[in-house]
Amino acid sequence: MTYIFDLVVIGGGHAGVEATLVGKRFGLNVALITLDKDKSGRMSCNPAIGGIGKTHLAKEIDALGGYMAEATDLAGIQFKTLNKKKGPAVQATRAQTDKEIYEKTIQKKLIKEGITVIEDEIKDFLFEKGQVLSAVGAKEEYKAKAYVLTTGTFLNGSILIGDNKQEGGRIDEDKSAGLEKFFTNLNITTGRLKTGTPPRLSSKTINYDKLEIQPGDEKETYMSYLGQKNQHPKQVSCHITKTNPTTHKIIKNNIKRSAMYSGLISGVGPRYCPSIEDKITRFSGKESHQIFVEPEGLNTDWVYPNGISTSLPKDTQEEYIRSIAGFEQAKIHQYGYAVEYDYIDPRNLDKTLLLKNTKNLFLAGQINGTTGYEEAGAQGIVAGINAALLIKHEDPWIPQRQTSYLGVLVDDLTRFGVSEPYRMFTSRAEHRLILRQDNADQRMFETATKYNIISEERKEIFLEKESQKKKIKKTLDTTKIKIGDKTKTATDLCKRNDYSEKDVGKIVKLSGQKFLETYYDIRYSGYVVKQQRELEKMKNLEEFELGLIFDYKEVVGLSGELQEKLNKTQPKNLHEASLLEGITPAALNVLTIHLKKIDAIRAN
Amino acid sequence: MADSIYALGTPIGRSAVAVIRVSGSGFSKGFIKFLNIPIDKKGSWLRSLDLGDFSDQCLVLNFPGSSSYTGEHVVEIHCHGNPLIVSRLLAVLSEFGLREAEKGEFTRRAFVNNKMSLSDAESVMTGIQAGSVQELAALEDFRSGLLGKKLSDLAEKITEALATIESQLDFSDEEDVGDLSVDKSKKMVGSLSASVESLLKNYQPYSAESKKKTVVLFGEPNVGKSSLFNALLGEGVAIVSPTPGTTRDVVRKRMFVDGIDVELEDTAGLRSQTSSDIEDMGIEMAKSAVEGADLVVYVFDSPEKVSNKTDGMVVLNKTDSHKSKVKGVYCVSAKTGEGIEDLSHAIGKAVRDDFDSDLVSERIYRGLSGVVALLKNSGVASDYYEQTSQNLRDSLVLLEEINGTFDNEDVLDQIFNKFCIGK
Repeated sequence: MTYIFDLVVIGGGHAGVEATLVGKRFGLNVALITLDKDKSGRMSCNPAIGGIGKTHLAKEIDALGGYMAEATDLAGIQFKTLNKKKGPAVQATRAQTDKEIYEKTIQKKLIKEGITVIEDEIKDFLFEKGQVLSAVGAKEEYKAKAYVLTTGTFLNGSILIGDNKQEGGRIDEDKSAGLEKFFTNLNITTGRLKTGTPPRLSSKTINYDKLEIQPGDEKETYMSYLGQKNQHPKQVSCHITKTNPTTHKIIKNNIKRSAMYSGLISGVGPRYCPSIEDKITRFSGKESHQIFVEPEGLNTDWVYPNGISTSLPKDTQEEYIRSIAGFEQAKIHQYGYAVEYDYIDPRNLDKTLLLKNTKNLFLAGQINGTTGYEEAGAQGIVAGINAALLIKHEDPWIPQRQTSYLGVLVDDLTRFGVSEPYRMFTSRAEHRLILRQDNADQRMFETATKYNIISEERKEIFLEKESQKKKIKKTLDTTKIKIGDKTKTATDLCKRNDYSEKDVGKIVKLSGQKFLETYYDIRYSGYVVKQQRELEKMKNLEEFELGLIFDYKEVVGLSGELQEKLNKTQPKNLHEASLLEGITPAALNVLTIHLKKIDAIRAN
Repeated sequence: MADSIYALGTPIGRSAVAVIRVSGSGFSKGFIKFLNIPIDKKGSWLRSLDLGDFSDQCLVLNFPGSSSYTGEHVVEIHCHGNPLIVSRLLAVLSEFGLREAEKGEFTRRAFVNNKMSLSDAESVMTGIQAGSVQELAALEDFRSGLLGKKLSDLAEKITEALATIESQLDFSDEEDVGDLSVDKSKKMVGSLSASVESLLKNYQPYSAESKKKTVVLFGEPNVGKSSLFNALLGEGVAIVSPTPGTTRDVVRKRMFVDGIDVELEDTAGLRSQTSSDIEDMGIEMAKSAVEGADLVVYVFDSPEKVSNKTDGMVVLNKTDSHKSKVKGVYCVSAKTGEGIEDLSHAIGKAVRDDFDSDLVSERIYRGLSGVVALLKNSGVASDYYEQTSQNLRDSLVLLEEINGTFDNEDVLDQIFNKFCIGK
């Protein structure tokens, strides 16, 4: 039988869910096809949402009406503000979540929104002249106007524990097969990446007396802009323990048996999330490494020891776990394993995440070489919005680096590709100072209202906040302070290094979140101007068309590498050229002058 | 088709040989006939060129086609270095439809014809405009990459500092990343800013006006200042007469002394009894010229009158007539040329900048000044490292515009190499 939809999303992970839901908010008839309904929204790695850089993405998804942050507020069992002592641009809310509540919340949402969720495995796409005509499943065939494919780690996935290698994208689950052939036929470059998980322990067998306790924030915080009081389930503490020289010795003695070191794994793992084997090898001088003991939920004894992911054989895992303080009697529920999987080089995508050479197939999530729920959700919403716009015959939406982490993510992926699983860091954002977690609502508002993808409630909350901030701004503008023989406004003081937000707050007798936001809006307003200038410069660059340069080898002053790159990519204009990796301002200068040369020759 | 241009390739003035370069794609028949050489053949010929009333024995070098400096047909004419011959030759070229090249036009043509890269062209242009030997040396510094090396060392240091700051922002929750104290960050940024400042101190921007040195000849009337002026220049510019007070204006002329651009000024002689208001005005102008001078040369004409001056150089002129010498004083005869060369070297030595600084283009100087301004504004306690990091980034972007590249990944690489990141 053949089903017909507007949009078909393949994969029920964090990317797939956001793509599905935003498609629905566009008013489309959406189907979500997944291997197992009950595993939609599953957190296969550590049970937490947020982190420095990641929270910024979660908040932007939220500001576009996405569901990740709301689900986090409903499932979060510990909330912490990271970087509290640092500036507002790098502060981030991190939530420990109840894994089960989280996925159930997501699954309920899908039902509530009337999404057609179908259990099937997509094996192939029927394809004609770049147009995907239908997705061919093991059971049925699905026709749609556009498709979002989110295979996660399931594309050619294999699970590795010690010398044991089995096929699959998650422990005890099959890999998705067949699709790799589709990509090979399309001549799409793929690569191989690796990620790992630690052994999961039973909390009943952990001696918590030996662990350091790590409570959450006292003040209730929220991931979503819709966050409400008493929304969170019961709050709990996490714990900390650490490895010791004995642990390290056990691991060192068995290192050759680790899948990572025995040559079984060819994929590249993330540097910021190394396995315990890697940590010990690369930083051999360190005598111990911290382990965050994170509960996977309120009603389960499963514990996620964050910091010791591994692909060592089972007996070594038993041995080294028991060498750690508090884990002496620990029972392992599930052994740690490494996952190796194929990813599509994201340089095969355009900035809407549409697969080049196709007209209606979008890719999102880990398949594009990223890691993390937030990175996946972010791509899901970008792909979902653009799939919807394509279906509605509207212009695509490309988030900009200057105004969002979504823009940084999409731009980095599609321009530079990845060399390891890509994770968001705030240092990737040139305009970090104005891309704060507290102003994502403001940054996304125009897009969200333009496409009408946020609820009235969300709009009202934002507009109310804006009007309060306006009042605060007025107070700051009209409060005059005499400094020496000069009269300054409180607004002036916000920009000065010798006045902190507390000093200014005291003067105008204001405090609280909205005051802080207003203070930092003013303080960093210079960067908004700079960002504006850059956007304008970009538009200017678009006016320099490069169509007349047929062979960049003729452009003197460019390195051979750049000449080759430009010949290969044939950018339409200087702006497109400026986005290529390795293009420097000097190189742009050379191109501009070369264009002038061409003009001069043509004029003669 | 590019029209034909010409330019004098050697300095204006008397010299053994003067070189005139011509470039174009296709010369007029008249010009080809004038040269009287096989125009398509590369080589050199000795030709007596007809300049109207007289002719000059010239060496003509012919570079047809694309392997020349400009990539066009280039002809070099080496004539005798007499200003009269040179100006007549240039006039003749104009008659053949050639025009005088604009400043830097040869280099521009070379660039347009793919004979050199933009940065090469830039450095040649600076080379042409260089006002002193020092500047050429600095240019060499830049070409050879010495300055480039310094800049990339600097960028490396800033990237390192940025990695330290970034680790505080992106990885503050990591065990291995210790807290950075504000004091330490201040110190780190302070030392960066100090090293850029010292670079700035050693690399001054090239500015023609500021690098020109003014040397004023000063003294009583009729001590022979104008004769000395002419002798130093090697040509007749100032009017010389035995009547005191002949020079009433300040006469200026540019000359190169040991590679230094010097403006030599001849002034009205000082005397209390003047013959006219105009002479009075001349004396006033002389006084103000002295005030603005880099070097004052006090000229005397008899050993008895010589008085020691601490603020300038003392010259005893007319040694040919009084036949005496005074110790510690430059004794010359403008008339016979005795001692003039020594005096000229001494002037060059006196006006040469005493600090050991190299010169860079305005662009590089501005970039570096921008970096200093950014760094000075960084490392403040109240910015929680956010702004410091932004300023370090902006500094790298400025440096990138001068030299080299910068990549976000570099910073992350450094962090991951330094710290054990990852839970």
